[in-house]
Amino acid sequence: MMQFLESEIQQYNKLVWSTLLGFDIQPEPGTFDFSSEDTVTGSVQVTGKWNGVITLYLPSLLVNKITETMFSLESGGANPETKKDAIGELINMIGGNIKSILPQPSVLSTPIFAMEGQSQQFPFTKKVTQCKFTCKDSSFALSLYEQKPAEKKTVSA
Amino acid sequence: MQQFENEIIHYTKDIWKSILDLDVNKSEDAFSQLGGESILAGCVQITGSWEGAVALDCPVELAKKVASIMFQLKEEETTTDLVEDGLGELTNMTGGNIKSLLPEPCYLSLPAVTMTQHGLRIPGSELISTVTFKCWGYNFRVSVLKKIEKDDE
Repeated sequence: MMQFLESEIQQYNKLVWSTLLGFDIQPEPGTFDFSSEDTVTGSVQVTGKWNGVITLYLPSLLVNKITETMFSLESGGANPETKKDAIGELINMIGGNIKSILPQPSVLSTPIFAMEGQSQQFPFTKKVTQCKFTCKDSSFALSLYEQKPAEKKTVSA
Repeated sequence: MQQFENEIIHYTKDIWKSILDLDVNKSEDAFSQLGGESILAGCVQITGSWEGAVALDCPVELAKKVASIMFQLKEEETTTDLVEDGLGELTNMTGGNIKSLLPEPCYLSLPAVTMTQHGLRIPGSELISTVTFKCWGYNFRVSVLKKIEKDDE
């Protein structure tokens, strides 16, 4: 079954990776299983008519390649700050493209990150799309989380 | 005095009292992790006329206690999801109150919760205010970060 905006996400993601990095990425079937020990997560939030989160899950090895390519660094030259800058730029561009096909008006937040060994969750959302891709022998994923309708949990006020 | 410091103190005390019936007090100690404990960092982002974020850094053990009170469960019954929901809710309420001080129109994002050893870092933002509180012997921290404008860089 086709997921929410699946083909558009695949198309925009492919376009951004190609124009920004010159990398060819291919959609892959299946779910993306990852260990937070070896994964970098970058997210931008969309607020407005549509509320949710766009999240990129990338293995460390691919993050290094992205960073080295984006900033013309030698192999092994990426550090945590340049990695954040590179992934921030990437998720910002992907998020901007996806936002353009979501209900308007909506605004995009600054990117936030979880580096290797950290994990990032979005309470009050449900995953509506996960697209898996492959690039340079590494798999990665792009997911959309949409705000759940208000749910009454028992809160003692 | 940092910008919003009085408001952060007032709102945080008020929220923790009204939602959890807990008294929290500003601590003069700098926020630090005890013995390398993991930190659960809640964050809501603000976009619009003012751009930035409100973050709540909380030791996992305190976040579990918060969830057990919030959802009326025993501490051992709290799942990871509930702990994250609980901290997300507190972050959302804190951010919502801070947002009311900012120029309109402003929009609050959904909360994000990150498990980290260092607290959440938001590149491209500068810390404009942070207040450490003490609750049950644990320190937690509420911070306001403002997006750095390109012209200021």
